[in-house]
Amino acid sequence: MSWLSSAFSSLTGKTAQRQVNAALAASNAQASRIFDEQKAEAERQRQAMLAAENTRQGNIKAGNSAIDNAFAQFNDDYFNKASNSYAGAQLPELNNQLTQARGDLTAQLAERGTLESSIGAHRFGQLEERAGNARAGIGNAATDFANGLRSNVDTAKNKLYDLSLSAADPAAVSARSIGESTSLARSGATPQLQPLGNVFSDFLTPLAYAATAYSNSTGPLRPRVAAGAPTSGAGSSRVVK
Amino acid sequence: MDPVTLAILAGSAVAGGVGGSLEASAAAKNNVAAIRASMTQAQQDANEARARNEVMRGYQERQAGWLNDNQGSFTGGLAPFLPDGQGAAMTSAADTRGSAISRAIDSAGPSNIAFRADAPSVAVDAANSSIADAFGRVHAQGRRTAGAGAYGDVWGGNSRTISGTARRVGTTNAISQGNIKLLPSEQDLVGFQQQPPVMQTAPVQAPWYAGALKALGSIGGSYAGSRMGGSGAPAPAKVRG
Repeated sequence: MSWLSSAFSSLTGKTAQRQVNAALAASNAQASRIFDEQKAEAERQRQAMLAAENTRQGNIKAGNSAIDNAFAQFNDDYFNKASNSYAGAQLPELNNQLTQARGDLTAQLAERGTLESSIGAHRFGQLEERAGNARAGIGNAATDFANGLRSNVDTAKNKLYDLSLSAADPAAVSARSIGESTSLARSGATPQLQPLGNVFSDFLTPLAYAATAYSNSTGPLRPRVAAGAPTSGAGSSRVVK
Repeated sequence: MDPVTLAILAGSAVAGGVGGSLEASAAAKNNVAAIRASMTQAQQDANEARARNEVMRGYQERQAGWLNDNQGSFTGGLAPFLPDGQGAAMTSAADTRGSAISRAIDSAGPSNIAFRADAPSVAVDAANSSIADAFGRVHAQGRRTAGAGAYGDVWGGNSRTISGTARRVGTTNAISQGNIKLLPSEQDLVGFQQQPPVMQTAPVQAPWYAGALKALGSIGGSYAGSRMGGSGAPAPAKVRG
């Protein structure tokens, strides 16, 4: 009777298979619908991710452009003006000191009767050399000043670029750049100067000492004609020939 | 063999053969379905690999573009460091610094000495000559100072050139690195879109009568065999009592 059992089993199996087929069809349809939804969501995510990255890149570039624009003013012309500004702030004071020193030297040489002498000419040359070297020093320092500004500008740009890369916020970077560049521009236009000091004080001092010695002496100061004991003043002396 | 037995035998063989064939057919259909599912999965895997590779190719092209940009920035940044460029930079720096020094030296003319109107011309000439000599020495010293300072100026300029190049390269790198971080995610997202669920199918079962036919064939074969005497030897004659 095994064939009867097999036939019965086949009949009940057929019914079960129809049920399985129906369940699978429903399951397949649902899986397909869910997949379509997930696929669309994946595409949305992908587009959003790429758009966000494009925005980030655009923000970085926009921030960098804002920095470049704000710092465009710092060109060779700006640094040349800064250098001239530095020199222009120091040279008048030096020239005033020179005028004063020249007057003092003229007076001192005239007082000694050596104004129109080779000694006087030499002293004027020395004074002029002292003044020229001081001016050259100012010109040199003015170039250093301009180069210092260049470095400051470069450092500020580096920091702002770093900020732009990390923040990717062009509005904030732009505002910061304008602030930094304005501050830097001001420091170039109004340089913080070291006091010049009295450039000619030690130049005139020996003459001042000489004048004091002269005034303290009892006789006229004459050019020394020979080495040896003084030819004037208190006490006895004689010239040994 | 009597015709009835032969007919039963033949019918049993046909029934068993048809039943077995139906079962084999169902098994073959299941195998075909399994192979199709496997092929579908393989095709989807291939599609996913293709989509992932396509995404990667896009990233590689963009990365190559950025690499090219960086090489351009680097080459451009290196240009001033070639021997000719450094020589020109030294000349330019010495000129710039020298001009600043020279302008400062010449910012005030030679001193105007207050000689008496009847001062000996030889004294006046001596003073003027001394002053002119001093100006000459100051200018010569200024040129030497400018020449020495030019080294530092060139190195400062080089440093800023490197800094500027680093800014450009750094920006490109930041963009490039931010972009490459998206590669795995985008690959996953496009890969997912290539993997719809494989439709499930219920295994095919042989029709219910396949088993019945097989059983019938088996029974018929047995019956025919019994009619033939089992081993085929002649049946023993009945003993009359």
